[in-house]
Amino acid sequence: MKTAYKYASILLMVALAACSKPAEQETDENVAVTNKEVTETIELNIYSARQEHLLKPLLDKFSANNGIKVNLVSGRADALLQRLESEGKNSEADVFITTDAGRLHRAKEAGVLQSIKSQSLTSKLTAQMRDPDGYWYGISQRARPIMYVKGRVDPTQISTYEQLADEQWKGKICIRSSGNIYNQSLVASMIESNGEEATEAWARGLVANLAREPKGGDRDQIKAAVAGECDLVVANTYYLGGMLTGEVEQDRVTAEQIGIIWPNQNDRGAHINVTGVGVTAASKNMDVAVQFIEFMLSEEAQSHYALENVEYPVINKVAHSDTLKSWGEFKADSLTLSRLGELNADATRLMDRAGWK
Amino acid sequence: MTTMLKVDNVSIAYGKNEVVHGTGFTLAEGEIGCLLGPSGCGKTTLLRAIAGFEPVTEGSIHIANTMLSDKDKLTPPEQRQIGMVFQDFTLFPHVNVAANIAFGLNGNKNENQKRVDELLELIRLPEYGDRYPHELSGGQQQRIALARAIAPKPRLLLLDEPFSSLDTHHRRKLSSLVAKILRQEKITSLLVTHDQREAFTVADNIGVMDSGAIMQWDSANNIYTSPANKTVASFITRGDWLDGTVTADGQADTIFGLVDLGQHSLVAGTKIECLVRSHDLVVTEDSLHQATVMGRSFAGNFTRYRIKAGDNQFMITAQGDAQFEIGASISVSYQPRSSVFFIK
Amino acid sequence: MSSTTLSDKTWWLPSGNRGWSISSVLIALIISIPLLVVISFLFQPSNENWQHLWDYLLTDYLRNTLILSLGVAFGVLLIGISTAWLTSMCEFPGRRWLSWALLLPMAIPAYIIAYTYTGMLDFAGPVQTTLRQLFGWQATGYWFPEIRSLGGAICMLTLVLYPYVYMLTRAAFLEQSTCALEVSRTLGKGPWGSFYKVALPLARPAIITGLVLALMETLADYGTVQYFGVNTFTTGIFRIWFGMGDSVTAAQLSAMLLLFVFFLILMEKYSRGRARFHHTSTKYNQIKRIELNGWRAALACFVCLLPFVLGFLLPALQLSVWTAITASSSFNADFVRLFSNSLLLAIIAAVIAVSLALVLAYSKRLVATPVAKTAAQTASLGYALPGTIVAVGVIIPFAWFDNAIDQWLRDNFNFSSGLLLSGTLFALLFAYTVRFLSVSLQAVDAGLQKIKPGMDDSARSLGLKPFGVLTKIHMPMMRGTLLTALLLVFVDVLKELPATLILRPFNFNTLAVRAYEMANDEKLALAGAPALLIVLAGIVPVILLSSVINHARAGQQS
Repeated sequence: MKTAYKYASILLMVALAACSKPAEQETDENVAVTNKEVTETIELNIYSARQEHLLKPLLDKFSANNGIKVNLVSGRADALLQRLESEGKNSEADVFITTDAGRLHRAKEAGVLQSIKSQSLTSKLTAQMRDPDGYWYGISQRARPIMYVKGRVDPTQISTYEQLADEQWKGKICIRSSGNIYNQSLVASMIESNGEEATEAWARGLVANLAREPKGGDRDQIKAAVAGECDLVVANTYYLGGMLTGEVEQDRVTAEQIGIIWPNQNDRGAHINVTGVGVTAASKNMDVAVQFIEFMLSEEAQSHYALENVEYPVINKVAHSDTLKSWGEFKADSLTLSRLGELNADATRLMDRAGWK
Repeated sequence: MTTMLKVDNVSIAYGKNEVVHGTGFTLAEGEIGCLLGPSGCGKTTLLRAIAGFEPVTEGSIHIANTMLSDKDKLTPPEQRQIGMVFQDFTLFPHVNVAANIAFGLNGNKNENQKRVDELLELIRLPEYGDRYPHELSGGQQQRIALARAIAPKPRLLLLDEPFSSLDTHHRRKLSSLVAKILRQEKITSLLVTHDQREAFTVADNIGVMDSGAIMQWDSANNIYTSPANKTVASFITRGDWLDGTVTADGQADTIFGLVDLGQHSLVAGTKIECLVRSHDLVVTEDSLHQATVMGRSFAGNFTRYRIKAGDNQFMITAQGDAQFEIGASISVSYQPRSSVFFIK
Repeated sequence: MSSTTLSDKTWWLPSGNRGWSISSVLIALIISIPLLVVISFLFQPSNENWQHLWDYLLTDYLRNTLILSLGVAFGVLLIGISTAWLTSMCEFPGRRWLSWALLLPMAIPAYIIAYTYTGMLDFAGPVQTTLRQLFGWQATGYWFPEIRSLGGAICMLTLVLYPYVYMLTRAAFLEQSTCALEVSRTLGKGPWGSFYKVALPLARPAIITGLVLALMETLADYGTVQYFGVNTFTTGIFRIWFGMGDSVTAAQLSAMLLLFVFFLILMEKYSRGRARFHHTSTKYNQIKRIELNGWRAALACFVCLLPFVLGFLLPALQLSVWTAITASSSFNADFVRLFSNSLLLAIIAAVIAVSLALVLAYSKRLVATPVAKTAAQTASLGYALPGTIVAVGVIIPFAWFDNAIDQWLRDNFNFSSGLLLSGTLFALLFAYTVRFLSVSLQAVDAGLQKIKPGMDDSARSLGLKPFGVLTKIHMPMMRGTLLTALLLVFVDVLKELPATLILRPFNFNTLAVRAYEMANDEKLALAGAPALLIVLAGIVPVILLSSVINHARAGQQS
């Protein structure tokens, strides 16, 4: 037993030693080699609400292109924002990536981002895809259209989000819970367009039409529809694309039976949202951070989104993947995306009032 | 008197290892019996078989003419109406004294309370009902355990070395108190102990056990004066053995001279051994038999000597002070109160 | 608290053993910092979201939380106690391996089991699809239990949390003096009567400890209930925070959760009153297991097999299937690092949590002042807080500390230290300690209580100092207990997600993080491999744990 304690205490020492030097813990071997050749290692630290596996290929490319070592922490958006806020001016993060314009807006309001005025950046993006003051820039966009089960629904019968509340869809709609940010921003966009009162009435109508209590993620709604539990689904194209190109045979078969209806093409357009990136107020590597954003908006990075991730790129020059092409062109809602963030809390409360679980 | 417990030719085994070999006895109603023997002799196993914790492989156990155990049947302990007091203080620590005593009672609240009070009075611990076990001494706990066991008025009470966890003083005090209570309440009881003095204090009849069998079932007096065999004799009192040869006139010829053997039918020339208890040897001026003092211990009103006579050593007690030195030569004579001897 | 206050005001400390008291109070204070941070939000002015909560959500949240807690409590007690009793007191085919197999569900994170069952039982899953094809059912018009519901959440949490009750109760049954049960039999109670009236009440502290752990986990659970669309107090906290961007109200809700748990623990302590549960007897008879035959044996076997199959075998099979499908993209060099990161963190956290628990429990033993007791009590509250909230409680004071040091150095030496603690493994390990100290403390405390005080006295009289008594007497005597505590924390850290996610340093990933990121991206199949590895890494200690419990009875084979 004595020896066991000895080992335990040695272990503890090792652990404490390991703790004190976390940053050097790991790095891709080839990058480390490159770094040794440079006299001073240039590093870029990223806090990202996007999952690691979605970003990793791009980060590797960025490192390879520029010889910059990239360090990443991925996590839940709001928690990372809290971390960024608490760490204040000493934060080591240079760049903050998060899904949803609402979060980007919140980060801007919290004062953790800094304004980047760059002609090369602004020229690449439409005004909608970036913060007017340059606090954040969109790097990919996703659409949240209505989906239907082919053969079971005539897609001409519904052409707007508003019609989801119509009597004829009673018991035929699946949508995830109101706790989800995608739904919150969809509702926010409707408040912006139709006003709070009309939207609340609409939300009540939608809740009354639900085939089941909201549960699961977007993929679960799609699966439930194909299995016959409902006919219409509101979900992000990204998830449908993931199913179509994923490794699970059954998912592919399921997703193939789903068709897409681009809503509100005759008025404001389909609901979209962005994933964006901003330079942190604490960044000590502003040049590298801007370099990174420029890379993310390069054709190379953007086509990765279009081809590998089945997301919509934010620049026009990039070719769409076959999957994206198969869904056709659409008109996107042109509201200022930061409005989604401003209206997010109102949207959440509205859904609570409407009984949207 | 009606028979309450009948243990008939019972064998008990743990797996293939038989620890009790076809033994038996009976207890009359109100009688207090005792199984006495060294540890490992099977007495506790036999007690547990009577309680219903161990099945028997042979023979049967009856209570008041109801068969409880044989090789095909084992009435569960809870259906036997047999109470038991264990060696260790086995009070339930999570409830108070009154609830411990009332544990086996099935009556309504008032009846139970009345019985509990009655029993607390009986074991001379009134006012203790609200206490918790950990607040009591060992002796008090064991009295509560007794009260708990007899509360449901069992047909038979088993006591498994109930006093062995106590110090000598409390052991003596508690054993007489328990004997008194059992007699007063006329509770048929069976005590298991390795302490001969405890057995003699409490029991009407004693079964001396050795190696899984009862050697002798008899009153304390009979066991003392006429033990059935050498094992019983030596377990009951410490003693030494004196070789002898039966003479033509029926006496025994020993190194302490001729010894009267009383009534017997042994032929002359038979080799025997006589039991020599320490008070059977007396230091006397007018004896021809010399012995050498090998060791001594002073015990207050008497002194115990170890002496050597011939090739054998014996214990002897002498009244008064330690007057003989080690190495001194003394003359002793053998004057047994009752002659106990076995053929060699 | 500064050191001067400690040395000057010692009226609340009995003389001697001062070092122990001070360190226990210090540890408790430091561990409580995140909790205090959370509680401090209670003193911030509440905002309009409270009105909204009150009007639309709170009733629903409280109702669901209450039903969930009661349901899980009922479930873990039913399964935990019945299987503990059967495997410790009865003999039936398969008992030996079931007695450790029953611990295995502990290795599966609750959100993972939720994903696997959804995959299997959902409307679109293989079970329902097959049934529909077999019987030609229509999409609607037949009834099938909905897994993503409050009932489903109760089932999922029960399946992975019952091992806490099972483990502790079984250990208690094995340590019980069989005499107590025999006494009860001679007093006319049958085996079941004796179980209810003696064995069960005697095992009460163990059962309650297990139940408290399970309930605290339930209250802290976010992944499962969120996925199942069940709105509980915890999802409410996140809704307010994430959905409305209101971290103040979210922290206030968390603080209320903490106070509620504190209240529950006090209630339990109070209800014990003067009763004691350790045995007055020191003699342990060999347990005579009741031989079960025929249908009884089959039933016992079934009762013990069911939780194992549902809580472990099926989910593990589903994970294996997913892993097989995605093997090519799941396993790469990165994976080895995920695995070693997870193991390393879990081992270090376990050693820290158990060491601190030893100090706290031992000082409580040395000086049983209310201060020492409260210190130990407070330090263990973190278990009921969702990991994310603990993480925020760690981030805020750490960042404050770092920035204050930095500012001071800048002002006085024109030198910037940057962030010293924030974003290091130290911060992460600290959060683990806050969250899981309760687990190790419960185990160590119970282990220490089994050692009679006389042992300390005799060791002290032989010249040992208190520290010597702890290391030379107690620790060797509690080997089993210490190992149990280590392994419990190890498994918990292995599964831990939310705090790891937020607090980890750059480029530091674990299996749980990988599994979550895949699942969160709705790529369940890809979550299979890391989840399966968590389970596998958890199995080894769980099996070890079981052999420890089996040897709980001094020198006896089970």
